[in-house]
Formats: sequence, C-alpha cells, structure tokens
Amino acid sequence: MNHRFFEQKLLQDEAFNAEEERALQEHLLDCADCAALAEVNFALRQVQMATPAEGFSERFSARLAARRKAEKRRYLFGGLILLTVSIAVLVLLASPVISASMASPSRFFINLLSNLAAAFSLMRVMGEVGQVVFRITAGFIPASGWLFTLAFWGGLTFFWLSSLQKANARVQAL
Amino acid sequence: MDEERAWILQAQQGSDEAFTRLVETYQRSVYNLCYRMLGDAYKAEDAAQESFLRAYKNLHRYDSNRSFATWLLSISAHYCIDSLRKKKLSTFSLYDDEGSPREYLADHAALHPEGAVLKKAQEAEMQVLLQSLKETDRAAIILRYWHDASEKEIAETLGITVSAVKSRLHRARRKLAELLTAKEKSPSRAERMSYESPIF
Repeated sequence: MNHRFFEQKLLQDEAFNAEEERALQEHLLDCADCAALAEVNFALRQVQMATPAEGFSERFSARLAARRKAEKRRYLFGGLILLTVSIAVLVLLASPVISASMASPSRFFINLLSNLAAAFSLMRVMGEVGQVVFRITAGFIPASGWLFTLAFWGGLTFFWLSSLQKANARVQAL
Repeated sequence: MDEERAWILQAQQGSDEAFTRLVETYQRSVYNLCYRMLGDAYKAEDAAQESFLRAYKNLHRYDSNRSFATWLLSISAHYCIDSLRKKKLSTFSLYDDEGSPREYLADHAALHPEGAVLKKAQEAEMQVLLQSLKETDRAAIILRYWHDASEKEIAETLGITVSAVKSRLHRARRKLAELLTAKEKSPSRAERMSYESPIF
C-alpha cells in the first residue's frame, strides 16, 4: 500500500478495512496531502442539515397567493392593453368609412349595398370556377396521386403540430 | 411513500393543501441545499421558496416514475446554480449584515458545549471552503454528504452522467483538501497543531 493507493481511496472517499486503516494512520503522519484529504472526508461526514426559520410553509403559501394575485393582475392589465389597442386600430381603420357615412348617409348605404352585392357575385363565380377546375383535374390525377397529396398534407400538419408542442415544452422547461 | 404519491396526485389536481404537505416534508432538504449552495440564510430562504414555486408551477410535468425528492432537488440545484452564475457571488462572510455569526446549525447537541462549539467551527470552516468550489462541484458535494445521495441520484439531479459526478466529486475533494492545507499554512492558523485535526 503506497501513497497512490491511499490517495485514490481518499479521493473516492472509499471505506478502509482494519488493516488498511492501520496503514493509513501511519501514512498520514508523513503525508500532508493525504492528511488533508482525510480531514476533508472526515469533516464532510460530520456535516449537519441547515434548517429554515419557523413558518416556512406559511411564508410559501403567502408567496404563492401573492404570485397568483400578481399574475391575475398582469393578465387583466395585458387584456386591457390589448383591448384598447384593438379598439384604437379599428377606429383608425374605420375612420374614413365613418366620416363618409356621416357626410352622406344615403350614398354610403348605396355604396355599401353595391359592394356587398359585388363581393357576393365574385364569391359565386369563384365557386363555380373552382368546381369546374376540380372536375377537370379529378379526371387527370389518379387515385394514388390524391392519396399521396392527402398523406403529404397530413404529415406536414402532424409535423407542424408536434414542432409547436415541442417548442411550447421547451419554453416551459425549467 | 403512498401518502406522498397521494399528495402529489392531489396537488396535481389543484389542491394547495396537498402541496403544502409536500412543502412541509421537503422544506429542510431544499433549504439546506440552497443554504449550502448560496452561503446566505436570506438568499437561501428566497431560493427555497422560489424552488417550491417552480415545482408547483411545473407539477403537471413531474414523472411519477422518478423520485419526487430528486426532481425537487434538481429544480432547487439548478435554480441555485443559475443564480450563482448570474450574480457571481464571489464572497461569503461568516457574519451576517449586523455582524453577528450566522445561525444555521439549528439542532446542535447542547449536551457537550465544547464539542458543539468545535463542531460549529468545523461546519463554518467547511461552509467557507464550499464557496470556493465551482457551482456544479459544490452541488455534487452537498448532495453527496448532506443529502446522502448516491452517484446515480446526483447524476439525475444535476443532469450529468455518473462518471461526470465521480470526477466532479474527485475534483471537489482535492480542491477542498488543497484549500484546507493552504488555510493551515496561513499565519492565523499557524498555532494550530496537526494533532488538533479531528482525524488524529
């Protein structure tokens, strides 16, 4: 049993048997490094747990309640800001329309009706065109092609959703 | 253990009372880890409370196959390591802001006052030496000696491999021994004789 043997055992804080213990005591008289290691291990084995001051759990409950209150207030404040900004943007966007309707209500009403009718007819036309295109392409594309397209979009959606979930988990990670 | 599982389950379903029971059970372990890591009673209290808050917030993500103590101490250790890295706490005083010695040995043997004083001095010395270790090494030593954690448990708590734990413990013991030797050689300790060491 040489210095290296004792040093390794002390660095790993391994137990010594009776014979090793006797040899160690002799070695420690001459080896300051091993003596320091032995002292550290001894001191570490004597340590005691620190205890928090009385009423720790009560203080925790109070902190939890305060945190919840602050969170609620933050959500409320955030919601109010969002609502105010949304209303402001809406008013800003609608201001030309509002001013026009104030200037000439009958003209504004007629314009509104004609715009609505135009939008409705545009939608009908687009629907009919879409139906015709679908009928034509359906004949060209084989069933396997449709299946492939469907699987592709399904896979892409799944990938997107799982990425979102992973990103969300990472944000919430400790 | 079953009782603990029931509390965890109830806490996951939103019972504050069940979580308070968990706090009462683990407050000492968490506080001790924080205190040994940060070396300050006030900061330790704050860190322990914050650790429990984080645990409460993330309770839905606790895996019941894992030990709750390991999971909780992991949160606590990471919190302390992060705050140490952020604030770069480089110094630790044995005395609090008012100049009184820190009171952290709550339940010391009062039967042998001399022994208790000596032990308290050793504890204080060890606490000072601990602050010289790197954050993760310090956490490994605290978990090993104050929490009786196995190398595997330390690895799980700190999120490192078992061999990394071994080498960190190895390195920490060597560093502590070097610091102790340096301290012994310092003028203030010159009068201390080798036979006064607890191992002799």
